[in-house]
Amino acid sequence: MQYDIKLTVNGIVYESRASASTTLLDFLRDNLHLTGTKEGCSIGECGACSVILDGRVVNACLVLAVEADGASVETIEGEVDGEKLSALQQAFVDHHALQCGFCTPGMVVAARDLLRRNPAPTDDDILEAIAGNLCRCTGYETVIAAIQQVARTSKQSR
Amino acid sequence: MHFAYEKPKTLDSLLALLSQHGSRACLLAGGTDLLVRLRARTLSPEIVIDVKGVEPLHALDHRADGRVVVGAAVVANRIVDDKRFRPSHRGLADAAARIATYAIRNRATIAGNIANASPCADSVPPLCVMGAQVEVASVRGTRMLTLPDYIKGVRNTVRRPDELITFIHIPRLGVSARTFFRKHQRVRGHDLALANAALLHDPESKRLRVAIGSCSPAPVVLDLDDLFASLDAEEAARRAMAAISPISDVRASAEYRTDMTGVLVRRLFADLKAA
Repeated sequence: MQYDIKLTVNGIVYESRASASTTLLDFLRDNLHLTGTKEGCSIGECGACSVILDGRVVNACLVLAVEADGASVETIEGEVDGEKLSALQQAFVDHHALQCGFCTPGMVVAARDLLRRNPAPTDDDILEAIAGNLCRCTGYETVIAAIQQVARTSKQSR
Repeated sequence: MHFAYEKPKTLDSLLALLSQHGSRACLLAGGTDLLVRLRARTLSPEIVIDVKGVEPLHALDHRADGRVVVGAAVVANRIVDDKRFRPSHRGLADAAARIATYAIRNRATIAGNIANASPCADSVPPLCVMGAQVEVASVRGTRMLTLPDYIKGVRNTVRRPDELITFIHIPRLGVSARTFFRKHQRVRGHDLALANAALLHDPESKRLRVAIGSCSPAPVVLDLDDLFASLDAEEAARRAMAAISPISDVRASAEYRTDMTGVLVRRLFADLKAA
C-alpha cells in the first residue's frame, strides 16, 4: 500500500508516495534524489545516514518515511550555501578530516546538531556527539579538531 | 516487507486496531529496534501501529506526591534532559544517557526498552530497583505489572498480543534515597552492555536493592535490606555473582561477565558512599 508523504527538506516542500516499509533514508535518496545522505549499515550503527528531523539528529535508516510525514528535515545538502562550503565543511577540508568521505555527510550533520545545542563543546562533548558516526579511514582526531576550530571561530565572532 | 501503517490519534482507536490485528500487528514507538527486525524479516507484521499519534502517551509527569509517570512515547533523551529528576530517581536518567548513541536516544523510548525485553536494556535495572510498574492497556481494560515480573525472558514478556504499554509508573522514593547506574561495555557509543547494574539506597524505608542486567534471560533483582546498615559491598557482590546466569557470546565469556558483575556492584557501593 502506498502512502502520500509531504515533508519539508532544507526548506523545500516535497510531496511523493511511498510504501509503509520505505525508510526516510530510502525516501530521501530514491524519491527525492538527495543522495548526500549515505546508507552504511542500515541498522543504526554507523551514522552515515544522520539527518536532522524536526530539530533532532536521527538515523534516517531507523525512521519510516510515513513517520516523517509533515516533518521538517535537514540533510547535508542544506549545509552548503550555493557553491560555497559552510565553515564546518571547510574546517573538515582544512583539517583533512575525511579520506574516502563516506562518513563525512553524517559526521557534519551530527556536528551541526552538536554546535546548535552546545556552541562551546569540550572534546568529550564532541566524542559523545559523534560516537554514533563511524569512520573507518581517517580516524577521529582530525574531526574533533575541525569541529573545535568552528566552535572557537564562532565564539570569537560572537 | 509489505505492511500497512496506521497512526491513530486516540488510545481507544489504537487499542481497537490492536485488538483487531493482535499478533499480526507490531507496535512502533521509536522504531530503533523494530526497523532493524523488520529489515531482517525476523518480524513480518500485516500492520505497524504508530503510538506517537496519541498525545497523552508523550507525557512525562513528575507528580506532586513524588511519583514519576513516563508515557510510552517518551524518548531516552527527554529523560536525560529533564532537570526535574530528583537524586532519588537519578539512576534512570544516568542509564538513559548510556543507551546506544545520541541520535538513537532521540528516537528510542523507555517503554520500548522494556517492551523489547533485551537482557541488556539499560533502563531496566534502575526501573527494577525503584520498584517501577508497567501499565498495559487493551480493549479489555488495563492492568499494572511490576518489573522485573513483566519480563519473562529474552524478548519475552507477559504482554498479550492485544495489549500496549501505555505508561511506566515510578513510585515515590524517600527524600534522601539515591539510585545509581553502572554499565560495562567494550567501546564508547554504540555497544551493548556486557553487564549493567543499578542500586537503590532508601534510608526512609531502610531498603537496599541491586539489579543486574545482561547476565541472565531476565533482570536479576537482589533484596539486600539485611546489608542496609553494614553496606557490605563484598557480600553484595558475592550474592550478585551467585544469582546471575550469564552466557558466553561474541561480546564476552560467562566468566568475564560474572567477574564484571562483581566489579559493577562494588563500584555502585563506592558511588553510594561517595554521594
